[in-house]
Amino acid sequence: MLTPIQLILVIITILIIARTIFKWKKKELDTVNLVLWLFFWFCVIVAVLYPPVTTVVANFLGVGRGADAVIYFAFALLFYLIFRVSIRLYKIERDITKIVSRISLGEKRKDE
Amino acid sequence: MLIFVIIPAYNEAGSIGNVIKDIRESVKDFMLRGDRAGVVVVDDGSTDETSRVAKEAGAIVLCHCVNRGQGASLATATKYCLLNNADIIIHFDADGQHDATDIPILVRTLLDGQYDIILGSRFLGRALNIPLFKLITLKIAILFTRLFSGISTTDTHNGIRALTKHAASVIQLTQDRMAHASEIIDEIKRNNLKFKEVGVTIRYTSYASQKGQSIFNAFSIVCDLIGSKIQKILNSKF
Repeated sequence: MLTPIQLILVIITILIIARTIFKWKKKELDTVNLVLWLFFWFCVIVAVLYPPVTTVVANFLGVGRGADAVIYFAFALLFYLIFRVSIRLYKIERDITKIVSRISLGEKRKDE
Repeated sequence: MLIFVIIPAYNEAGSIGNVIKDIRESVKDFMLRGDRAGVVVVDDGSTDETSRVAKEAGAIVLCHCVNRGQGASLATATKYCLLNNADIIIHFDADGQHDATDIPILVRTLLDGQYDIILGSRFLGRALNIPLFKLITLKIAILFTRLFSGISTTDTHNGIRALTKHAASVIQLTQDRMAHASEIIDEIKRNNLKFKEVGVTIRYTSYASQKGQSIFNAFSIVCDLIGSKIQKILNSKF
């Protein structure tokens, strides 16, 4: 029997999976990222429905409890994603500057 | 010889007119000897009358449609000047802190000593009414630049500089905001440019104080510097 928290987490995860597939269909997500994300959310569903699985993985990795392993993993993943987003943001900032600069020089040329 | 004075300006309608007037006055001697000079203002997404005031004062105005920072504005103006065959480019601030009479001194030092770039230094010249926290932050910035660039200067974050065409074309500015000042020092080292510091006058007027000389503003320079170093490392590795 599912507990309320399991039910909520499974519903949320299924919604996220549906959204991920929708993004892929609209070509806003490439196939490699689709597979990676689907694999990740599938692992989340397994961990939510069968919590002892996390303990097996934790013991294998040398971490005491399953919940600890999940938190360590979540932190590592979050930091990696923040890192990726900041690199992307830096590139976007640079690109905006290039565009703004080109527009201003182009407008000046038109004036002259 | 063609000299361009470039001024990044963000909401500086209150001071830009007088700054341009002073600059035009200070380069008159060069013009009398047959050299040409122009003032290029980059209106960096201002919401006030900066563009109009600058045009009326006789400057060439380039407009950034959104605010991109002082470093980005200098990069845009430099591109414009190089496209228009500039021989010498002067960086100058819009808030009236700099003294336009320093410009001929910078240009003469640049030409006489056959340097690539001349950096203005308030600590070799005069820093009038400098607030204490600004002084402390600037000293930290100097130390920071010395550690990371390996170049010893007396003043890192001074906006007044003179560059030859060669220096302006090899210096690649990637830092859009305040960290461009230490990036210029890095670029001097990377490109083996011959540089010299010259004493200049900086006036901390009440107008400049209103324009954001807060303690947060001062510390943001240091944060920007640290951030830029991390960004550069990340950028080069990934």
